[in-house]
Amino acid sequence: MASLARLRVSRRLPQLARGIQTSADTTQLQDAPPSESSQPFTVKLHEDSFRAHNCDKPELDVQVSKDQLLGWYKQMQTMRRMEMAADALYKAKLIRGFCHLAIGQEAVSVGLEAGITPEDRVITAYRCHPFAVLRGGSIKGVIGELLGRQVGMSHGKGGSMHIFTPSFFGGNGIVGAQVPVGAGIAFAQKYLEKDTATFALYGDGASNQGQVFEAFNMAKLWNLPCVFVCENNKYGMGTSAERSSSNTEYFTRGDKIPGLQVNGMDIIATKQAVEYARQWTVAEKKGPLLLEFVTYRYGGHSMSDPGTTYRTREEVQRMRSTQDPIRGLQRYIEEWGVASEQELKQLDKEAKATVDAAVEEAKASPEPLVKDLWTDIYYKGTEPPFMRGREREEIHHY
Amino acid sequence: MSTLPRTAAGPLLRRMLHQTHARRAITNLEMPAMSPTMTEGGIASWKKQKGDSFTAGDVLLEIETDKATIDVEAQDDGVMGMIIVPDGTKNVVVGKVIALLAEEGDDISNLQPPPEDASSRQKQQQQQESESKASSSQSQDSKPSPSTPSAPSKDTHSSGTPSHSRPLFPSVHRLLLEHDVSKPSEIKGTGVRGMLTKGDVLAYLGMASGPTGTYKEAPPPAAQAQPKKEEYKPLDGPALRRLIASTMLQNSIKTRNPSPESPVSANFDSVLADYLPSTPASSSKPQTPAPLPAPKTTNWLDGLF
Repeated sequence: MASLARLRVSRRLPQLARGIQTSADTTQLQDAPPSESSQPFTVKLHEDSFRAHNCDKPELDVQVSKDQLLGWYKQMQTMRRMEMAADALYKAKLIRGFCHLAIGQEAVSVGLEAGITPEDRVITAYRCHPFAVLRGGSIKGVIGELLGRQVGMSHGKGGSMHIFTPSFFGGNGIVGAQVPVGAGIAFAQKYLEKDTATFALYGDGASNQGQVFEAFNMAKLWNLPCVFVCENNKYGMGTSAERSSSNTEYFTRGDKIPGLQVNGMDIIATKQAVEYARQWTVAEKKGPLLLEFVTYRYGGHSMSDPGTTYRTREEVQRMRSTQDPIRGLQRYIEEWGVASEQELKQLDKEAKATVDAAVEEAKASPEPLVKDLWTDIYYKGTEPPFMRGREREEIHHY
Repeated sequence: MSTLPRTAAGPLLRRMLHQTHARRAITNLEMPAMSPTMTEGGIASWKKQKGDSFTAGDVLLEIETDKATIDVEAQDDGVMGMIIVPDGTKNVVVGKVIALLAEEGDDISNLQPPPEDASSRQKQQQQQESESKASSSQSQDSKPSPSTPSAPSKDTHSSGTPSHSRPLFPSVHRLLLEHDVSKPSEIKGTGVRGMLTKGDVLAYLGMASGPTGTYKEAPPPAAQAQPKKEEYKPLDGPALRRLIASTMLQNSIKTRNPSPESPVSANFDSVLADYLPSTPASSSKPQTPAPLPAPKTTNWLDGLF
C-alpha cells in the first residue's frame, strides 16, 4: 500500500524537472516510537519535500515525539473547527464584512508555531485567524473580534485585519504591505540585539507587489534576521498562479536571497523547514531566507467567493481527500501506533467542544459602547484636545 | 491516499460502540445567507436525499437567491438525516432549519424536526430587545455629545493652545501663539462659517488695515458690457417694410442713374455671351467692351433715338 502510494504520488507531478510533492502522508517511520510519549523518535520525510535555491535542503530525518504529534493534531483540528465556525457564523449573518478563512492551510500555521519561540515575531495578511490564536490570542478573542463584540482582541473595533498580540503584528488589509513592515520588525530586532527571527508572510498573489522586492533588497543589504514566507495556495483571489506570475517558483524570486520550497501540507516537513529557517537567520546569522509553502485552500478567497468559478469542484474535492493536512497527520498517528482512532476521535470532540464554547462566549459578549468610538485612537495621555467624528457636529473633547 | 481500510471498519465499529450516542450527533442545517444582502431564498433542489452520506465539500443542495442559484457545500462528513423543507419551497428565511444532518452510523429512523418556531421566535425577540436597548442607549449617548460642541469652548489660558469655537487654520494658530492673543473668541471671524482668517487676526493686532488689507476687487466690467448691447434685434413688420422700400429706392436710383462703370454694350452677341459657355470667340468679347465704356457713357441714348 505504501509503495502504491509512492507510485501514485510521483505520477501526479509534471515530471520534467523533479518537482515538489504535496501529499500530506508520505513521511516514513524510521524507528519504532518509544512508549514514553515525550521521547523523540526519528521519521524520514519524502525526498521531494523540499526544493532549494542557493542553499542546502534541510535534513530529511526529523525527530518527533508522540506528544508533539498529538498536540499538532489537536491544534490543527481546533483551527479547522474555528474557521468552520466562522464560516457558519458568516452564513448566519452574525459576522459581516470581510472574512478570509484558512481551511486547508492549517499545517502552515501550526507548523510555523511548532518551529519558533514565543518571542519570535510574525506578521501576515488577512488570512490570519489561526496565526492570531497560536501566537498568544484566544479563540474567543478572534471570534469575538469577527463578531464585533467587546471580548474581541481589538474590542470588536477592528475585525480580522486588525488583530494583534505582543508577538503577532496582524492582520493587515493592504495586499503585500506587511512584507516591508516585517522587514522593519526584523530591523528592530537586530537593532535591539535580540536573538529572534521575524517571519513575514504573504501570498502568491502578493508576491508580485513592488514593495515585496524592496523589502528583499533592504533585508539582504543589511543582513536582517527576516524569513519571508510565501504561502502559495495556487490562487491569488480568483487568478491562478500561472496566470498571474511569469515565474511561479516563488522561492527563487528572492534573487540573491536563498530560497526553499516546502510541502506545506505535511506538518512535519513544514516544521522542519521553519526550524531550518530559524537556524539560518538567528543562529548562523546568514541574513534573510525565503520560504515557499505549497499549500491549498478549500474555501474561496473570502466568504463572498464560492471558490468554484475559477477551479473545478473536483479539484477541491481531490485535494480534500488526498492532500488534507489533518488527514495526513491522522494517518501518521495511526500508522505509527502513536494513538488509536478512538483517541483521535476524542481529540476531535474536544476541539469541537472548545470552539463551540468559545463561540457561545463570544456571542454572549455585548457590542462595543458608543464611547468606545473615541478610545484606542491615540495612546492614552497623548490625545489631541478634540476629535472629529462621523459628522461635522460630532466632536468629542478629551 | 487510500481511505478504504478506515471507512470499512469505522462505521461498523461506530455502530457497535455509538448506538447510544445517536441523538447527540444531530446537527441542524440552517438556511445559509449566500451573500451579505440575502434575507431569504428558495430551495432549488436537494442533491442528497435522506440516508445519503456525504463528505466535506460535497454539494448538499442548491439555493436560489434573487441573483443566482448557488450550491451549498457540506462542512463535515455525515449522513442526511431528514429534509425538512422540500424542493421548490420559496421564501425560506435565512436561519430557518431546513434539514437535519447526522454523523455516519447514526440511527436516523425516527428523527423529528426541532421545535423551531418557539426557539426562533425567542431568538428574534431577544435580538429585537437587544437592538432596541442598544439603540436607546445610543440615542442617549448621542444627545450629550452634540450639546458639548454647541456649548462655548473653553477660554484659553496663556500657556495653553488657543482655541476657538471654529477650527483654526495653521497660519492663524501660529499668529495667535506668536502674539500671545489671550481671547481669540473676541476676534470677529470673516471666513467661511465664521472661521478666523489670518487677515482678521492681523487687523485685530493692528498690523493690517482690515481683514482683506489692500486687496481691491476689480471694477465691474460695465464698459465692456455696453458695446455688446448693440445686439441685432430681429426685424419686425415696419422695419422689414422700411428695408424693402429703401432697397427698392436704391435699385431704382441705380437704374435711373447708372454708375459710370456699367458697360452698356447693346450688342446682341454680348448679351448672349452672358449665357453661353465661354468659347475662345466669346472670351475675346468681354475684353473689347472693357476699353469701350469710357467714351460711351454719355451717349447711352444714342442707340435709342
